[in-house]
Amino acid sequence: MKPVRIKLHELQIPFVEAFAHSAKSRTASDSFVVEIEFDNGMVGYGEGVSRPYVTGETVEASVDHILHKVWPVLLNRDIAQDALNLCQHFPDAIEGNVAFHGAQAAVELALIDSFLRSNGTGLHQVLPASPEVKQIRYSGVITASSAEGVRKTAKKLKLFGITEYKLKIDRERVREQIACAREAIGPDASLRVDGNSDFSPDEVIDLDSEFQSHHIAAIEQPTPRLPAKVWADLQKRLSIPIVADESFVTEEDAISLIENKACQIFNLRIAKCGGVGRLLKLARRIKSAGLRYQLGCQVGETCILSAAARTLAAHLGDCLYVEGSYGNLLLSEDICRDRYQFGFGGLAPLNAAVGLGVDIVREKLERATVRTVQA
Amino acid sequence: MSRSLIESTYQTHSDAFSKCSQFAGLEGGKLTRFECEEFVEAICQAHLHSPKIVSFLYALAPSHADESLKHNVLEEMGIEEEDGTSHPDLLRRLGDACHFDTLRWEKVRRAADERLRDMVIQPLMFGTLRDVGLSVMLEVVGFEWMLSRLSRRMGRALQKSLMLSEDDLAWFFHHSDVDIGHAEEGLQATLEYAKFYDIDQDTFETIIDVTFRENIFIKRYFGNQALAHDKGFLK
Repeated sequence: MKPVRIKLHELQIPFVEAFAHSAKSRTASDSFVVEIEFDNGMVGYGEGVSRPYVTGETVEASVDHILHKVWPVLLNRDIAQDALNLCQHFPDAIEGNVAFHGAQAAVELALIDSFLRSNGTGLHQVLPASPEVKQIRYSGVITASSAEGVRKTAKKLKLFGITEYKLKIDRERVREQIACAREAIGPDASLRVDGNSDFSPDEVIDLDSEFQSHHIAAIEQPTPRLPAKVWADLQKRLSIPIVADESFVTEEDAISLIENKACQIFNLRIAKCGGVGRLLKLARRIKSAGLRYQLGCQVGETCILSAAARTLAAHLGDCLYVEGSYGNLLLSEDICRDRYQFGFGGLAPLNAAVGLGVDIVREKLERATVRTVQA
Repeated sequence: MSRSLIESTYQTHSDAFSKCSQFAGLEGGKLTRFECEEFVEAICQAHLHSPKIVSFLYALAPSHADESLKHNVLEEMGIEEEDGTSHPDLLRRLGDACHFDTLRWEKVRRAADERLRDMVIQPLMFGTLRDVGLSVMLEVVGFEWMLSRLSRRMGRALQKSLMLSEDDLAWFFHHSDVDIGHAEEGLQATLEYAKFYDIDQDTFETIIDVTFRENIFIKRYFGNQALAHDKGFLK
């Protein structure tokens, strides 16, 4: 089974509502979809997301990396051996300050999808769910906005039966954002905050009493990427766990954060971590250090990344929180036939279909595509 | 429950719809024949199954508040109309006047079915049928409210652009005439529904927020891309 053709679709899918955090406000998905065709006629789809402030990638650089670095290695190469170790065939993902993890994740997912489809199996069979996992519970994410905006979003999510919330905070409005969110979701719901690198260590410490009084469960990426020792000091002084996100991109990041006891939770994301294979390896490392992880997502991801992540969440079984599968709650139109999103309570069934678990509708993919390149 | 909140929401969304560039293009005669026909196609897709949707609401309405919905269902089906023409038949008349061939009708029917399927198959975000019902009711009455104020303008615009007769455009002119009454009765039915099923003010307001988080009139009649451009969501 050899790949013979690759097509990259750069997407622009408008959101239903704008989604903001301290670093960026988004109104459309800018994911890219990798479509790989094999000599047996099988076609597989993968998805990547480029975030310059996370991995250093831009969409243009990711597309270029795939076409000129990854594709030449894969073209006409028999890859029908081990679907989950395909990344080992790829060139090093790190180039200077850029980790081409979004690009490599997209290619890896497309290879896995087609490989599994050829065999009539699904990722859920290769990576079976932990026995205790019967469904996935997703967190609701409250976008950073005014007190009124936070209240409205929180109320909507509460009406949807959500019990775990992540609140995006920014420096100017953090106190009112936290107070409004807690008031709207009630005292018993789990609430954590995401600083998206907007705070200094001292500002975070100043907020600690606020976190305690509103029963905040954890704070994600409170500061920009800083030396692990700085975070270690911050974690020691802070009463709640730190979740590493933008500070945790590579395996070296994980090692440094673990060795320095710089955080207690890691945010695993397929596109950020460089694919399923790399993510599982990172999860094993974190677990063996006695630390916890959550499975996050990229804002605007389509059903492809959502489906792969759902299988991983079920397989890992011990994710502290799971995010994603927002489907048409965020995207005006997804690229699969049936909506791939959670329902009431943030609950979603486990994947049971072949490949990654979703069927892409070509017409919808083409409608969402603003630029196509192929080789 | 606040009737004024519902009406102000309908007003805001109807205003945005009538001010969007596509509507202005339609009224100003700036849409091509192809674009006008696409608009007709979207209208047909959006409303072909309306008797079924109104029947669903009739099924949920408490008995003391179901009379207007029953009348609405029968009218949609053509049973309480003078000439016995159902509303889907009025849409077919419109499509035929635009020379929709079998293939195009098949496309419209498939798209309408797909929307129905999507509604039925998608994961439910609300925890009860009560909340689903209120959301659907708000949307249906919202369309009646908007059509009672704007469908005549849409009909007149199509009359000019596509050289259609009043009879061809009966769906638009009929809604302009009857939907003032329907919208009024619908508003009352919505309030009675909320009262009967003990929907508190906070939940009521949140369901309005969820239902109208985007402009469903622009979305259904002109599409996602038009809506995104109108909001400035696309580069």
